[in-house]
Amino acid sequence: MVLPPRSISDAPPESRGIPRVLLAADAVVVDYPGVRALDRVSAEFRAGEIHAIVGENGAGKSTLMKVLSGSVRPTAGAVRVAGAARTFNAPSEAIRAGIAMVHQELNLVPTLDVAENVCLGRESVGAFGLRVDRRRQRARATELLAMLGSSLDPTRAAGDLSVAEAQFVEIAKCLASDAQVLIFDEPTAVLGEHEAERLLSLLGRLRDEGRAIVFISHHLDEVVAIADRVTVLRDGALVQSFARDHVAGHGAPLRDALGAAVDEARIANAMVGRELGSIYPPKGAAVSEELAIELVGFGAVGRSRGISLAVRPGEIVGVAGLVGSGRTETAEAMVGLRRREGVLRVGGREVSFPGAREALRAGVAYVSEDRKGRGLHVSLPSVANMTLPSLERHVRAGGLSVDGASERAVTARWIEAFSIRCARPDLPISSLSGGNQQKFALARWIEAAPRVLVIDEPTRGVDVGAKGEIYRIVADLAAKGLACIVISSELPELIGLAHRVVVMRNGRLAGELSREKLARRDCEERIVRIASGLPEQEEGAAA
Amino acid sequence: MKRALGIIGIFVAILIYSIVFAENFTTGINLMQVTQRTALYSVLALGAALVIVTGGIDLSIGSVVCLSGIMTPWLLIEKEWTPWQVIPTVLALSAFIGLCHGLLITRLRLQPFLVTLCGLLLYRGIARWMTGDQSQGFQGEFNEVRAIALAKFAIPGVEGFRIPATVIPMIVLSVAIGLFLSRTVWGRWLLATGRNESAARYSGVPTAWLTTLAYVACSLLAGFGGMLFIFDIGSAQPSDFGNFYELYAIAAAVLGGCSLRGGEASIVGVLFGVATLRVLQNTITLAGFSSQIEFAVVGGVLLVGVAADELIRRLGARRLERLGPAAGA
Amino acid sequence: MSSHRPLATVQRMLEKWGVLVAFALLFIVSTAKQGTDFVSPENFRTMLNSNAAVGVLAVGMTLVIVSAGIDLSVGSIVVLAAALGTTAMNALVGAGWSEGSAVLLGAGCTVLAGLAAGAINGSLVVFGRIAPFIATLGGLAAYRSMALAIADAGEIRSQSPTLFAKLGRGGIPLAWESGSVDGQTVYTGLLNAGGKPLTLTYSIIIFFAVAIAAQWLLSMSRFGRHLIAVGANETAARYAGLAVGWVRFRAYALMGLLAGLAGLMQSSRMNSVSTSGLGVGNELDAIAAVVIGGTSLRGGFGRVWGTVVGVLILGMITNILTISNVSPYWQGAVKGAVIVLAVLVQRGSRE
Repeated sequence: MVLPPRSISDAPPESRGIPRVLLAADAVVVDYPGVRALDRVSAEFRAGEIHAIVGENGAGKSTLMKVLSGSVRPTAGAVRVAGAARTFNAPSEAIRAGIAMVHQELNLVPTLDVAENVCLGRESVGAFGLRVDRRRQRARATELLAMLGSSLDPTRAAGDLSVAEAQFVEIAKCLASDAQVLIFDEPTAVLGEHEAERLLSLLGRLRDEGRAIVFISHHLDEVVAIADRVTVLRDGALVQSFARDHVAGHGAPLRDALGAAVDEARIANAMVGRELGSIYPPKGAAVSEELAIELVGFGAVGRSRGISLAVRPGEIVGVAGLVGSGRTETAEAMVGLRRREGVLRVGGREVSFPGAREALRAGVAYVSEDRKGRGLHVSLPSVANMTLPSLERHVRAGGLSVDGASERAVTARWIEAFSIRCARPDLPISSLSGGNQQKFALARWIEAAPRVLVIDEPTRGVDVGAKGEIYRIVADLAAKGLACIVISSELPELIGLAHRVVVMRNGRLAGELSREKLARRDCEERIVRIASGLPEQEEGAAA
Repeated sequence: MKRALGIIGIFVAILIYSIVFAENFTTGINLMQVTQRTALYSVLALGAALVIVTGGIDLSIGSVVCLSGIMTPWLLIEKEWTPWQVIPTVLALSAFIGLCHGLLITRLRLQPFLVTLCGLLLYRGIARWMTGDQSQGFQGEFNEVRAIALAKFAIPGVEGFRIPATVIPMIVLSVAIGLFLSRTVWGRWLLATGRNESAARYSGVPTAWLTTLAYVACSLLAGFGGMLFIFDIGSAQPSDFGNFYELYAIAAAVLGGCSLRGGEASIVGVLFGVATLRVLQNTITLAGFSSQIEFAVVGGVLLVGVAADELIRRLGARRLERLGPAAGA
Repeated sequence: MSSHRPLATVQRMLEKWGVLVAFALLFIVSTAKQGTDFVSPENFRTMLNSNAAVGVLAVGMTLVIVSAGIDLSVGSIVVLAAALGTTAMNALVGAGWSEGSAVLLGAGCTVLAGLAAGAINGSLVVFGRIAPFIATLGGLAAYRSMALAIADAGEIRSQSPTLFAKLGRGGIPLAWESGSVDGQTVYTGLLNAGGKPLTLTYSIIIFFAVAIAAQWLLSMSRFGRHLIAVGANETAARYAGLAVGWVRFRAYALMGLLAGLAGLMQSSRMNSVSTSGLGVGNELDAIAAVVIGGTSLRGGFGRVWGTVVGVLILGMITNILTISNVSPYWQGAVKGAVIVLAVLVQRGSRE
């Protein structure tokens, strides 16, 4: 099924009107010590095209982006700008050559205003270059934002912007540098569904203006919807590429080299190199009618309030909502990591936790969305990460001394149980892939045998293959009587995994979808409507 | 242990240099003096190491040394307290100072360097105010108490060199703190807190509590050290006693492999760090340089140590990249 | 969601204007306590004059803190620069140079020595990648130790007969002769208690000139924009193509230069350099003034005018403590408490 590696330039030659190639990777090789991150990858980025790069985590997407945007120098091969080979020593040199990158973690200066951010490093200065000309900068920012269809006030402080607004500023920044090639690294990952749609239509507009758009995404539906070309990377090599017939226009389907139409499943298969079945395990039933955890008028002070929710053993409850709707904060308040208000009952007893340790003792565990910063100690060995929450159980000599053998044994047990790919548990956990790190992040809490598990973004930064395994783990745990609360921005994941889904908006519970409603085809749209505060038309019609 | 190898190498090199080139270095009395100083400073450095492990810093060590060292003779002579009242009082006061630091840092989330910088001025100010800025000493009394720091144990068959009694607290404290960090749950928690405070908190580690504990231990050790210092030298000026001692403590801890980013420590390394600084200082003095230049040397050594740590970290990161398959993710 | 709580609004106002409120309160307290002894041109002149050097340091510190750095070595740079400059000046006087050129070269030497020390700090932070507070902590010890070594912990007396002291104490008279009554000259303008013209010292002029230049630098110039960007979000600055290291290096070098200037101001006022006393604790005064002025220690935001008011507040506090017969040994404690309070007020509205 898998075709031999080939580059885009081998695609069927088009007869007329081939768009100009603005940027090209020419047999680029990147060797990190001991590992080849990119292996002779070639790709062309043409004016007026959206070129999606897809692949699992570790496939080399980010490395390719870093090469194109000038933060990594290729070991061999070349980056060509308008046909001429260029060597970039820093991102600023790539920017000067018209290649700008919108980074996943938005890079604005919160204490400067929008205009100053847009013009950062390219300030308009007055006479003698002494004084920054604010009025001119504001006019420039207004003009650029208007081009993007945004009427953002250029005098607003960047620190007050929402994620979506900040992204517009970020894009305006790229336009300010006259970038002809715009590289977007998972731009929709931090956006809610509604904001993501707006961004995608903007990408289309930027393309129509003749820019080359490079687009990395984990969301294959987005890729199929807007990309004119798709390059699939696997293990650092280019495995397949698809293109839309540019004569037929942007609405035409993507086709492979043989002319067959390509859909999401086909791309996903190319990414993992095998056929994928449904990645969601079958849903079991709640195992008991008593409540494992109950929130009454609960909230994280200043972030959410009035949340009432009960979860039974064996039940998986999904929590949907836009970024900033207070989901994570509420979860953190549940385990004592934030100040809370309202009532929290675990196993029928009202509780109050000063910290995560007390919460775990009472049987409530929280797996953070921020694996690098809060979930794990990335610089510590896998073993130490594994046992940290339950360290008090791995002691001898009357609790005075940590028992290393016991730690290693329990780590080995979970490596086995979750089929974690980890040959050396004594090495820092950062040496593992995202999926394997996430499995450890789950295992360390499950080891302490909680009754309630709150998982925040269970598959963020996890590749397709590992996603399915994580869903299976969660479903198995639920089947064994664990009450699970899953917070996620990926709606298919919530719909596929959860028994019911609650939706949060502005720090409050805005709605709930029962198991029956989740089975209906319009459930995704319905969740989006609730999350963004639109009226539920069909609900009224049904009633 | 691996982290300590570098400083052991440096120590051996400087020791050999001193033995070969510094006149009078190998005399019994000089070696005894170097050993005594190493033991005294190591008490401070161990405390500094505990705070540095949390990713914090204590700039008030020298002033706590001053306060406790000045208060001890002042209470004994001027206020005519008994040693049994003075020693617990001074130690309790030191611990209380550390508690204040810890609470200001963990509860009000003030920056450690800021809190302890204020402390640096405050405690010396208190010592000067309390004594009217007058020199304090034991006036030849309380020799039985001062023996804690002054006693020397003869080694059978060795002439001229006797082991100072201060080596005992050095060894006891080192072993205790070393075991605490490497073996106990709390020690592991403390190291995890230093690596990444929020990750530790999210893992259920009582980070605020442990950090406070580290500051209490640091000030307590500084207070204890101050007492030993004053027992040793007999009298001191509140205006300059203990000046810049925090720098010695921090420099020794950093040289010994405690990363200022937190989460890493080697107690053996800290001891060799102290010894290195003391031998270096001794050699400089023996060579006839102005004793004023001492702090410049210590400051320079501190910076070299930190820069070396940064270099090691970068090399380590590169090595990890080589091992890690996820480098391209 | 919490933006409409009245408490939050009060906190935000307090953060923004608290420094002026504090200034007004202290002004009232001082007036109530001292009456016309406080509210007199001469007293204001004296207060400004004695705080001008620390003010210059605080202004420089504002820029360093905006870049998310800190400089603990400023007090030691002050003494080292002053010691070097005065020694050089004395050597020139001893070698038979004219007093004018000796003082001029000595002064230049002082400022340049400060610049050099600042450049060393900057290099350690930028190229050595050492945390700013630890790099400058090393400097705090090392620079002072060098100054002590130069004079063997003693004092360096100026060998300039008049000119050096004039630089420190002289200035522009604020009153002019308007005639004479009974053989005594009568002046119009601002007078001191003895009826003689008040001088606006060069120190005060330098302080205000430095403050105005720095405020302009921070809010109007490209360099200021870059300082803020580097301090608030270094990654963003780097991706925007700024030479982050160079920006930070210049902040420390400028700080060193201003510390040298402050050293010159203090040594010329004293007409000597006490290597064990000059500049001690100045770093805390400077940091205190910056924090009181509303500049965030986290970097990325700062205001020089706030720092200037902060310097005046510290001056008034010292004044009140002195006339209330509070031991000078406690003044460090009061400053420490004021810093803590200021940081907490700043913190309040942001969390």
